[in-house]
Amino acid sequence: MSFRRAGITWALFSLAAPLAAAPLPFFENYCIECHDADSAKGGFDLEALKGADWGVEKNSDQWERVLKRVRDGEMPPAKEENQPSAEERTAATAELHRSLMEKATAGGGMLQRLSRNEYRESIVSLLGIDFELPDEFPPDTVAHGFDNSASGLVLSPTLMEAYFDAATLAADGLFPPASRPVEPARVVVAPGDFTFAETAGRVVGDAIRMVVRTPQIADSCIWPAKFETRIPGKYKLRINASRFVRGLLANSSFDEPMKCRVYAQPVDQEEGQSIAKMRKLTEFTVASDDPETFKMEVELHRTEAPVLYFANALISRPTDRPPDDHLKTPTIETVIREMLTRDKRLFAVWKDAKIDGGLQRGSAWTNLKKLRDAPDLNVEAVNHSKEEIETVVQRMVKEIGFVDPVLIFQFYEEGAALQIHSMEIIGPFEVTESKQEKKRREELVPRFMAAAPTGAAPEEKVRPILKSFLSKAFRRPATDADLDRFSTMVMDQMKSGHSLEEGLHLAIRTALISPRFLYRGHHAGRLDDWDLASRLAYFLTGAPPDDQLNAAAAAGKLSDHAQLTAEANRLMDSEAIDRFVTSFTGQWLGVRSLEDITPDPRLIVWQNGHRKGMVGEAERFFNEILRTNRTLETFIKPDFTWGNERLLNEIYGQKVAIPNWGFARIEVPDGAQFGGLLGQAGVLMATSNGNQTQPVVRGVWVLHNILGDPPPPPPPGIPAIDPDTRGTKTVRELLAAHTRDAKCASCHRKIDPIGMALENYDPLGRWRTHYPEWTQDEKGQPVRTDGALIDPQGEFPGGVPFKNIEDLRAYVLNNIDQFGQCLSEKLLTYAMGRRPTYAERDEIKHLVQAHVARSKDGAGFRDLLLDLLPSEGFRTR
Amino acid sequence: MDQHHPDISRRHFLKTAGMAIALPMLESTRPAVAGGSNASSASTAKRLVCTGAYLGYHREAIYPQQTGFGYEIPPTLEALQRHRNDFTIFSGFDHRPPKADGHDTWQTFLTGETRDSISLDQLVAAKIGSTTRYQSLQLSAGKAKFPMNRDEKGKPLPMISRPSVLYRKLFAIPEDQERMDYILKSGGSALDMVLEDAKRLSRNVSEADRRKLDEYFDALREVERRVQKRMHPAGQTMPKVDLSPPSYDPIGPSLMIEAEKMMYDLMALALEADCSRVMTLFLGGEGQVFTIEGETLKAGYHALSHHGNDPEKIAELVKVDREHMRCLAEFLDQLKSKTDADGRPLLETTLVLSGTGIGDANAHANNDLPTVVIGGGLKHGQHVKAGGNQLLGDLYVTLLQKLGIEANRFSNATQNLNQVLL
Repeated sequence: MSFRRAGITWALFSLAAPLAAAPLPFFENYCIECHDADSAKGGFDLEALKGADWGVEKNSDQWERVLKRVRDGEMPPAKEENQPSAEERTAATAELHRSLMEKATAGGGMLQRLSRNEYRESIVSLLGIDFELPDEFPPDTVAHGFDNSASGLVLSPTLMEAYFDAATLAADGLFPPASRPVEPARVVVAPGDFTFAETAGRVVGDAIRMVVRTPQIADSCIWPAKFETRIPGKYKLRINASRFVRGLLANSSFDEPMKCRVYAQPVDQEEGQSIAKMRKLTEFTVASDDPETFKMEVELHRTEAPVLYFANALISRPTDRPPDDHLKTPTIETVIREMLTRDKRLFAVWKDAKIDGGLQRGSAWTNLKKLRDAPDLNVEAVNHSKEEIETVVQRMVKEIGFVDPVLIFQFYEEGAALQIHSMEIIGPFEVTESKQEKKRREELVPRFMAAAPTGAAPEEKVRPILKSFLSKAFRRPATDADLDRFSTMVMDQMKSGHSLEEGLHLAIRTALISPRFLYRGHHAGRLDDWDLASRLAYFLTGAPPDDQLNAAAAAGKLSDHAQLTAEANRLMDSEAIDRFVTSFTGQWLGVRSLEDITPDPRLIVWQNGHRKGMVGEAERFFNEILRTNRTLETFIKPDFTWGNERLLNEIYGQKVAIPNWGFARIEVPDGAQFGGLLGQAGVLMATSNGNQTQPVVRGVWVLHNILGDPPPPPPPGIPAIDPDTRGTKTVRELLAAHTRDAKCASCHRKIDPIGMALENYDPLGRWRTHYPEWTQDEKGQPVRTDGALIDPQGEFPGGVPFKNIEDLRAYVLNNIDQFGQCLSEKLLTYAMGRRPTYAERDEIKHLVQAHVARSKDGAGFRDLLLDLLPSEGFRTR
Repeated sequence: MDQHHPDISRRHFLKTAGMAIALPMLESTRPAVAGGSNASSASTAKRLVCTGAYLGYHREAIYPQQTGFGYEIPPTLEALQRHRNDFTIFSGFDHRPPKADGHDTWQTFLTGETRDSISLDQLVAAKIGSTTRYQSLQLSAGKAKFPMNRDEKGKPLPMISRPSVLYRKLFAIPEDQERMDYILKSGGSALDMVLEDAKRLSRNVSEADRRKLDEYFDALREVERRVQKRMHPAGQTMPKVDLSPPSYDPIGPSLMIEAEKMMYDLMALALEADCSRVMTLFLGGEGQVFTIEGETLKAGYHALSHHGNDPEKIAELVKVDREHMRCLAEFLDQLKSKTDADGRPLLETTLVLSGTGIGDANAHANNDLPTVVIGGGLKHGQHVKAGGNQLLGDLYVTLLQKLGIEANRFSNATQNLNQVLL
């Protein structure tokens, strides 16, 4: 293409849309040749952008990209001969900055629908009821990385219908429909009618056998699959059970009675919960090897089912001690030692068994058993000394994750197992007043009606009740017009023969589908006190303003910075901040997505505890930094972290014992590979796919969430590079493709070095020095050996060398204001329900720079968050 | 009220569902065939059912060795043998999604290249669903963790996972009907009221907000229409079926297959009673152990799908796959025995698409998705292997056309499979 042509196009164009703000000569000289409408290299058409409205986010974003590219010397590309001088660059950058400040000003948000969680919390706060949305309730869409972004929170007919139905459910919570009389019924649960995981039970003959105790409900409990309490009340249980101790050599020691605990658990709840979360009903002991019927009376709440748990089962994980372990059952180590001591043949086969992932297969026990019972097993030749036994025991305990599936299968077949032959559930006998019902009657309804004058006629109560209710529902004082309309509606109901309660039921249903309840931020521009109260409350507590915050808004106090800070501090010190921490870390750090990742079973015997450890670490770590006002650097290089035993021991290789499988805070020693956002297992796993690491995804994640320099999405039609672990190519070789192609290189020179520096963390966040190489042994079981050495080195743009993760950490610490700015933008995106505009980000930049300057005097993350509150962005819709 | 009637077992429920369906809707009350103008044309399909298996199907067991008509039935499809001339099995088709990451990309099953666009079923529902009580019904067996259906804005739609909820929606239980009608009727005035609210609000807001509120107005109008349809029509008989609501909801994770069977039964009834013409069923991927024909599998479904090429696990996985197909085959039996207003078997005018968004759950790969299409008056009986540039969307284009919808493309697909199927 000729300069001439480009020049003509440009000249015509600038005539048509003369924007003095853009540095025209600069573009004409250095950019337009490649980025005119015809060529639009890299998919970027400067001409089209030139005429577009700068006030539109999409366009100002593009201009900002131009600014960055020019400022950082990325454009024009180095291979072009015609390069601007440093002065020209500075001048062009400054001019673009000025224009962006002028056009992409603070504000510009739109009506923000309540997110699913905010909606639920709003109803709970408004009516005081326990309220869960039905499974069928539509999920929200994520935009700008968060599920509370206004642009993602669209309203569809399906959602509106769900609101319509949920409003009835909520109103029923306060004013339920009249109940009907009930007759008791009898449900017989056969062994096959229980819900059970592989480890929790197995049907053998006429019974279901249980052999394990772990703190996870799903791993060790069984419950009737086809029963759910619909009417809360007293129920009779008849459980037919027996001991199964075949008396084989290995397990003859189980001579005590078996303890069976009965819990209650809602059937539609996540079964990945810990046993301690369930409501304990009762307990009985099974002492006979012949079936015996145990009778008990229990109280069941709505949606609950009775859950059975073998409390003194022999098999347990050493790291998972069950709740109130007063039963003094032997540890798994003792059990194994006793078994191997007592049964020399079993010892002989375990001695020679290879303890690895191959043992997780269901056939492992069958194979071991075959060997054990083989007539040609030469037992005489086996050294069965105490020391030899101990060696094998320790090997087995060390790899208990691989061993216990085998033990479970052995125990299913040979005992010791608790057998449940049947369970009968009969009832309800007495419909009990549930806790919720009592609370409703004694507390919630009176509170709802409190504004009504006592002794007044029903008609006179309507208006005062509505005034208090609607003001809370709409998060600002109800107007007279509102009150007129709603009162008329309730009165009309009453006139046509319905009760006051039914009228109010309708008023609740109406308010809960009103745009004034479902949306917040009804006024553009500066927020008034009421909108500011809502913004602060939904930001820090995920719920509407509480009474104190409402009072502050009513008194017009929130416009005052000191008062707003005081309220924010109050909320941060309350329990409600946990909702913010969970929601924000879950999304910013991506740990919310861990639920959807199931790791390759060759890598780990994945347990819910691992996931909970990772999520718990992210939350507790963040929470501590916030509450105790630690510095921004702490996020990257902390001296502490949190975790449970699964995380700390199995992922981070520590040796900690934590009582009641809880969480503990540990110190992170200098030079440790774990700890800090760049070494946190949750982050590292969320950016892998559970099977392999994805260096590009991790690199992009860091740019997005740590460095605040998000690369644009890959050009359309470019296939992603899939990691190929079959060993034909190394990850580095694959990534090299990015730098060969100029189109890819401009972004991937930033992305890939970061991803490579993180390659020392495997898909679960465990430290590694080599890629795994998988082969199969003669039995077809996978065998892991060290493959290629991990090569974490790389060079970041600007000639910054990354030798390893330490250098990446050092880079972030050296650029801590960049991290601070990124985090602040995330916080404001979350708080405002939209991405900050250019001008707002500029303001953030200055706030963060000032903050970092003060950090030597101890200014911390909490201070930074408080600094953001008086910003233009936070106070503008 | 008898809450847990021991005698009404699921078997019983099934039996009644399968055989004793009483008067669904009076023939005369059936709305004229949807789709507009020449919809009565015998060549047009009138209903669409899509099922999507979250963990897919083990390809080696579902794909026949040979292509064309004379193929030997593969293990997973054995249950469908009796319907052999009524279905086509497709291999090698997918949407060529820009990224293939297993779980997330699964969601493109019905949407095409990217997941944030309208799904096939919703596209169809908008055209042919407006005359029925429910424009479309989205169901799931097992936990509905990943959205399968998306509206025109690309927003995921929720699914019903409790058969009792679906039952109530379709055939409201008489004692609930009265209150339901009261709630809906008074709810009508609630809708009027908030419409007024929104109008007042929109007077004082910016242009952008007004557009946002338009979303609200649109949604409100549509809900008003739906609420009307849900209300007991005066002087008209609601579809009544001679069966009791399920005595329990099989939502326990080990009961997924059971839930699947129940959902199929209710879908057949709903189609017969013309409650809806577009239905989808998501088949979850639960961790719990299933018992199939009295035999308890050795590992949880999800764990089986990560079989690591262990032949034993694959064999167990195929058992679950076969079970899905057995449920489907029984559903087809019902669609053959139930007839429409013209006395024709429902299957002749009902298209059933049974597929998945994952080609190989073990490798988390989203290519080469096993897909089965049944009924709807198409030419069936073959195993069709994708040619070089064919997409799964090509098949969807043919389905759309067969449903009387003018469409030449779907997502990234611009061709069709008419040559094979018409």
